[in-house]
Amino acid sequence: MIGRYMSDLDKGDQLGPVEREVTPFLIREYAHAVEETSERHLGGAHQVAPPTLFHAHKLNLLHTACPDGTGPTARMHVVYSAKHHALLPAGARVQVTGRITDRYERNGREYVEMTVEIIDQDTRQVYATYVDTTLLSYRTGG
Amino acid sequence: MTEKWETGTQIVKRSRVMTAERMRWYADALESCAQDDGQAVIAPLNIHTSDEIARDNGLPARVSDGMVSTNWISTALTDVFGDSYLATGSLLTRFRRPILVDEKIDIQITVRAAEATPEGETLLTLDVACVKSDGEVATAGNATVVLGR
Repeated sequence: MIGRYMSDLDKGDQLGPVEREVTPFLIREYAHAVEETSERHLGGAHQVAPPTLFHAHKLNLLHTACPDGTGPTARMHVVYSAKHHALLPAGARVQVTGRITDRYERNGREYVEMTVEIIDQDTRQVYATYVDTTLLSYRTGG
Repeated sequence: MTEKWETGTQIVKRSRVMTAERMRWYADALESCAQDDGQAVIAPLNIHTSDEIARDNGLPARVSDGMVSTNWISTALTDVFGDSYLATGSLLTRFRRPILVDEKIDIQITVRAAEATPEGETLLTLDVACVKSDGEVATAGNATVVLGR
């Protein structure tokens, strides 16, 4: 259940909503870091976010729901799966919600699957649905 | 339009080296995006920026965040398909093997299928991968893009 750590999360837990503005800074900072050089992301009147910025929204959600981080050991992201529904423009105010859709063990390692939805606070337009799977500890038995 | 997209055609192949700086840029950007106050932030050390922390967690050395290779694929899809990918596309990646500092990575995107939709558009399904020099697949998955008439 939702507690201090990501390792506390269990199937059925609801995370958020977290509301935030997709600022031009947020988009530029992310785009520069991932060497995304399309001017669509770097500025101008029609600046839009790279779709992989959804991952940063997910982390924002996790920081809020699990303030003390991953748990006893480092987590590792293992699957990214995003479906885009609309361009995400700079200045949009979004609402990010998450749901733990699975928690399972495979080969002695524990995994958590989370489904995240990013929607416009005002219009309710869905920008993306994002499913993320994380390994809670790379070290077996950790 | 589907005939333009023959199964097996490689539409992207580009190479990059995974540097320690590329690993750190991404870690710092995530922290900056989390705080989002207009200031760049240096992230606390983690398995992507510290060999010591990575080894403490059972890894051979610092490893790339899987999102770095995912971003390389996503950028290539944006370069080729533009808004068709950004607005209505999808991308799935699985991180199968850790990528270490100085490993050379080939980013590959290949047509798996092209189907005509009832709306007269073309649904492209693509295989995507990041492959190491020795042929080991580090990141693999698929993407979809709907192209207009």
